[in-house]
Amino acid sequence: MSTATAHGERSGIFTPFNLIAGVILVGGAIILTIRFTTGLASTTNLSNTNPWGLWIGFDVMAGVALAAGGFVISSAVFLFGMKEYRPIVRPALLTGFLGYSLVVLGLLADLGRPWRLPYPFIKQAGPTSPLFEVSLCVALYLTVLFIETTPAVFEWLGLKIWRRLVGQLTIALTIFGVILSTMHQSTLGAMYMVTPTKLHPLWYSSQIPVQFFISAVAAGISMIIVEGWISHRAFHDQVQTSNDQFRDINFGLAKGAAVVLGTYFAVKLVALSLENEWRLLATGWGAWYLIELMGFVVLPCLLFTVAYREQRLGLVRLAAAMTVAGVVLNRFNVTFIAFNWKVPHSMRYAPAWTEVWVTVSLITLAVVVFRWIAHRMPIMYEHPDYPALH
Amino acid sequence: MYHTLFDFLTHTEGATYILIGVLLIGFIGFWRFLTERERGV
Repeated sequence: MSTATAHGERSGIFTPFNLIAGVILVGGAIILTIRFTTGLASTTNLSNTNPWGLWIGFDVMAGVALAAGGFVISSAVFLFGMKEYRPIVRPALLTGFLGYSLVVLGLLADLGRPWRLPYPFIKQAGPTSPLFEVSLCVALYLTVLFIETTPAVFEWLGLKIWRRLVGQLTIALTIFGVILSTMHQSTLGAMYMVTPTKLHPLWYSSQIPVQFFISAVAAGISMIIVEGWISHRAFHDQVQTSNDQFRDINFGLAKGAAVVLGTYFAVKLVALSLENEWRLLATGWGAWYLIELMGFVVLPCLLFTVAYREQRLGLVRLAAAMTVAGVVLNRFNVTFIAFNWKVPHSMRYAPAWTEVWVTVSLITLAVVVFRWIAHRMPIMYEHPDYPALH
Repeated sequence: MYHTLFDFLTHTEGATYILIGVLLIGFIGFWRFLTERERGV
């Protein structure tokens, strides 16, 4: 049995990739079935002391940050006129849309009772709560990303009128997306401002909303570099940009990422200074904090800088991978590693293997869907019938 | 040792102002290092 793709490529269903992805997804579906029928206790190590774990720390907190590339690139191209980044707008928006979809799925796995998802909007709004702001912005931004992704779908289906209609909404949607992203990326950090006694003082700061927003921009840019690196190899038969153009795009992103990471480092130092927490750097927690700050912020910033100066693409990719890992580590620290840092070791949280499996399943699901869409729709290339609209 | 909140804020905000000044000046150096190739130096 075989499947046809937009480029006439035919591949069997029982490929190693599909088999491995299938096993992961079936395992994830079984665990989620157990979770929804018997509750969190049977599938997670969560407790009243540690109510937020891997599903919130990775799927929501890190997921939202890593999906920030969509609004960063679309605003660069459509608002700031950086047309040279146009070839990566669609992959970035699709990555953003799938990333936010996974955020919602991960959140549902954690919260349960999915039929209550619209409750904040129709039944019990809490407009003074950061959680309400996050849920409203994520719901609206997911809708914006969905609409921003539809031009590729309409071109694929040949719906020219609809394609022209959504094309006219581009600027408005981009502006709306930037506003919503700025709001909820920072508010995810603002949620921790009610936890001064639980979050370790090195991570707790009145500046945490700003830190979350800036680190999300760095994560978004880095994720685009990593995603472009992988998809450039996986979809090399579709990519229309020349190697030189692709290199220039990566070096431009590296320059931006270096400046953003430098700014993030400065904001972290200012937060340390304002809270006067320097003495804590000499403790064990301080060593862990310095590993995150120096190893996954300062080092990739320097690597991006050197890579841009010396035009070394391999170094750009290494720095991007380190930045992605660093932002994930930061969200893990804030959500469960440096959270509840005073409780006895026996009461501390470590994710169950079932939690890890579900998270891996969600990532796999995103990769499978991205692959399916990119093999069929004009994501990596310009549709020949719509050259003027790109 | 700080005896009042005013003492604490005077010290930390004073130190932070100096730090921000150093960071802003440092950013000029960082930017010049980053863009050296563009300027053809």
